[in-house]
Amino acid sequence: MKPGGSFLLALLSIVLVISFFAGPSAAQEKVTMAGMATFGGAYVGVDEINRAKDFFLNEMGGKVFNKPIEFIIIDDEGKPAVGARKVRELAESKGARFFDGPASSAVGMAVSQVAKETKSILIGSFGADDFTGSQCHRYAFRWGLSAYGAIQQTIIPLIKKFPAAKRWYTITPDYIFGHSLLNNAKEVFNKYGIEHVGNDMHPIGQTEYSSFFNKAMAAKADVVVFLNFGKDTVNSIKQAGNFGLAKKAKLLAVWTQGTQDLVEIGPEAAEGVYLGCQFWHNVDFPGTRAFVKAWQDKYNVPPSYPEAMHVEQFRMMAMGIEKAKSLNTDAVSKAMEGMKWDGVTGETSIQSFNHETRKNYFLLQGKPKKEMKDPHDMASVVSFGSSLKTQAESACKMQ
Amino acid sequence: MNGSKFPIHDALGRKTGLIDRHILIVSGLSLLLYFILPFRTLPTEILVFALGAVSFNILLGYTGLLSFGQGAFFGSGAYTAGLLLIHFHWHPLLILLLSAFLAASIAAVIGFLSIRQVGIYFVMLTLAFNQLVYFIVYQWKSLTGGDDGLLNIARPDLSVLPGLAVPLQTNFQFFIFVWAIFIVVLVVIRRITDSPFGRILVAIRENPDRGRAVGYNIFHYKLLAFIISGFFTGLAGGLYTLFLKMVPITAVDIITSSDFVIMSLVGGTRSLYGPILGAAIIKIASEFLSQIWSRWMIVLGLIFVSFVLFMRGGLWGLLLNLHKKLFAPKMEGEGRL
Amino acid sequence: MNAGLILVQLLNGITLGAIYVLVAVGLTIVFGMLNIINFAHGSLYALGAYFAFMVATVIGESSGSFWAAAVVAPVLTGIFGAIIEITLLRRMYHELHEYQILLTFGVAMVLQEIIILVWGTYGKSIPMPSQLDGVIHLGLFTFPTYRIFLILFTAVTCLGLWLMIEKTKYGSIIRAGTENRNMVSCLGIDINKVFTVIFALGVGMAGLAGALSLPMRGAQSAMGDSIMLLCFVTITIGGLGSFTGAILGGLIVGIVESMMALVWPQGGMISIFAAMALVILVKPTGLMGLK
Repeated sequence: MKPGGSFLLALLSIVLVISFFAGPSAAQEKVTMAGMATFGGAYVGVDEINRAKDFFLNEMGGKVFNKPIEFIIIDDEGKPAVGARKVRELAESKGARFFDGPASSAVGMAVSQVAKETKSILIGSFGADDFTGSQCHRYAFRWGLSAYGAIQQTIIPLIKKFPAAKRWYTITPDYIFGHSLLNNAKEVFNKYGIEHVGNDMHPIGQTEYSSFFNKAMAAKADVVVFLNFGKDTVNSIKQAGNFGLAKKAKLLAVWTQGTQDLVEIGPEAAEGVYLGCQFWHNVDFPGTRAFVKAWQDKYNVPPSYPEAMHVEQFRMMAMGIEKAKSLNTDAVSKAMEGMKWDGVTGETSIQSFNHETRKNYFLLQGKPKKEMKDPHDMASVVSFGSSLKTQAESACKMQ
Repeated sequence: MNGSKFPIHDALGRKTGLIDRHILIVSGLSLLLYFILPFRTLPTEILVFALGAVSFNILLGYTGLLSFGQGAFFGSGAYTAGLLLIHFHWHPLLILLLSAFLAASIAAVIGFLSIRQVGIYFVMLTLAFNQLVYFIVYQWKSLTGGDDGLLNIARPDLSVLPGLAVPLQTNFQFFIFVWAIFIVVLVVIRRITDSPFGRILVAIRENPDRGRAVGYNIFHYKLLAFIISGFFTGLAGGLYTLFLKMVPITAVDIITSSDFVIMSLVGGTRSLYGPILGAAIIKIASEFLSQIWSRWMIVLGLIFVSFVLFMRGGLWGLLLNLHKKLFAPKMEGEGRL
Repeated sequence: MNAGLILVQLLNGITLGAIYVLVAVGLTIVFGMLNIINFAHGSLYALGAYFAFMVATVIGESSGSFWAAAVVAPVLTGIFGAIIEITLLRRMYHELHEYQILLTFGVAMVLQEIIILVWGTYGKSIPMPSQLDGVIHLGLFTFPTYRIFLILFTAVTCLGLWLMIEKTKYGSIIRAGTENRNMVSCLGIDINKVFTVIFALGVGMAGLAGALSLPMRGAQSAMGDSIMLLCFVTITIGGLGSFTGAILGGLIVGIVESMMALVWPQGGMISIFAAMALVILVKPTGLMGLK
């Protein structure tokens, strides 16, 4: 045989032997939970989920339902293809059936499809209405309020607070979630007789908002509403500060990440700006206080919204498993419906028909620097509450 | 055999068959990927991207065209497959073929408009066209789902006779399907690149003026290379849709384009099989590294840097050198791979 | 849509253009003169912003902190660039562009991760320097004073750079070295040092751009990615290797971006690329390009 051929045969034999023994490990009695985050790039969020994971494992003693927890965190790279594939990989190679959802709606919707196929519980707080709307399924749960709730809990309180402010201008990211926020906002404007004097659509990752401010000023807007999120909101508010927009109109950012965004915006630009958020560490609910204290004991800083979200979602899965006394996801799903507890944002409960969570959403206002008692005391709470669509209004038809 | 229009010769002028030892090795190793790696979905993804990278390399490695817009072809193929799967329930092979044809058509247009440019201007123009396709896909939400892409696409089985179908539902079944297509395509591409046509492409890359002087219509050859590359890239895109059961908009973005470029560079552009290695290395390294360290990209970046500093021919060049050193006196002769 | 709005948008466009000009001038110097494709250029822009943040934070809240940062950060970036040139790029001058791409791409990845390792994942910002923290009023509209400063500063810097390259002796060495490397070596000039200086200069410009955009936009680890793309578009429009081309290209990109934000924001990116494609199809080597 030619030397190349014998080389090949030897290689093949070695490889076959290795692969014979390299099969998947025998199933152990443990619970595999998984979370996903973006490890790098513009929407990085890995440190938060890692801290939340450590906090959660610590408080659970590493076990749920008396079985050890194996917790895997994957990098979704902010891409639906990557997130979906890795979730499928975890579900099929490691038997993971409990997933904490991603921050991005695009990734979330892709992962939700896989969750449905693999019968895996997925708890997410990304904004896309369809997740618990037209694409709902029995394994999908939402914690954070969706676009509908966020709009109800930020725009309506401001309308009531400033009855003379009738001319509102919106700045929207040209993204499915952005459109969802805009449509919800328009419905509220109609209902309360607000004049929607203009809207600007911008691509995600827009760095220049100056033209929108100028158009808003040209339209003599009383209130400018930012319907974007993440880095875009940070840039918007920062530039609004540069342009002195807050002196001419009230500013509202509907969907922010709380302290994380406020730190990046900076107190100078955030002063007086209204911000909506899923979580705030400085509110007087027993669930919040307990969580913040325990977190602060461990990490010396108060928890941010993503961290609170992850912890609460991990807790929801654990509670579901404990209540169902089973790892079977159909049973857990059933057990989670109607579950009630003292959550990190106050009293929390899960609706049965669409698996949305009744929890508080907060309207904050940025504090002037001199009023901040500590570096994290960046905002005061203006109002809070919960708004969920009723079964009649919802597009969810779950079997 | 003498009447064949594209006879395959190695560099010494001897006729080799459709299947040679290198194809066998690549087939064997790529099949083994499924068994060696502790992942069930990664091997399929590697093959899909390997196919895309090999197709890209027809342009870079053989014709010397650094096309930074392959995502346009990959994504077109992916979306075509996705839409056909959603609206019609045709045979997957037919769908793949149609996806490839559409991508090839788009490649013909883009190639036609871009080829006359040189250097960075060519690269940026291909990038511009990629951006255009991305923009159209993004804005045409009713057709493509915009930023959310197309979801919930069912993967059909492979019907061979009425009533008889090869199942493609499990990871393994689908992997074998992709692997089979991968090998067939590889054989076809090899036939093309090892033919006189392929050699002319290389000649054009090395010395275009001389090619022109000898009478070749450089433009036509480059355009053909574009079409061929676009065809197989679109095919890979269609496979991607079948694999994911969805079409993400990232299939058509410039990051995907740059993925193919980087994979080819890492694996080695001077051979047909180099990009396969590049795709495998990058995908496997990414998967393992991301499980270990959240800052894993730093390691990937260092790998790229060290490749350039120490392994100029890419990984394939390194393996060739190793092979040569191990079997030097008994080597048959170095064919151009 | 009125004249005031258009004027303000034009000014915004020139501001944006100023940032692109600074980065593109650096890129075109390196690409045009040294024939090196530097995919890491954008991450050096980011590094400049982070260096500026570091300097400003170390000095603390005083009225001089921004100015110190604006001077020190580009120098630090230039030094960093020099190190990269000496250790990695020096052997790449005669290599194929493909390898330069892979190398600098890897460097860019490493730099982006180093930024996260050192400064964390949250974005950073510094307050506006107090002397420039205000707006000028143009009818109904406001325009930040800082942006006016940015435009003027960029103009002055470009003029200074141009003068240095065209009118000074060292500048002529640089120009000669890029045209005929061997001849310059034969004349006894250390061509390696010249190239290092050129690279550091180009990179320093990117660092300056980063430092200047810090109060305006803040710093994020991935900020280099988008600027990278736009700067390649800029030098393509302007013509590879052309100083004036980079300025023209940068202004065109900035103004197109800004005016599109006024009429059709979603079409901003594609309009920039369309403008580029148009330029190439009409004038294949860019507006001022010769190669």
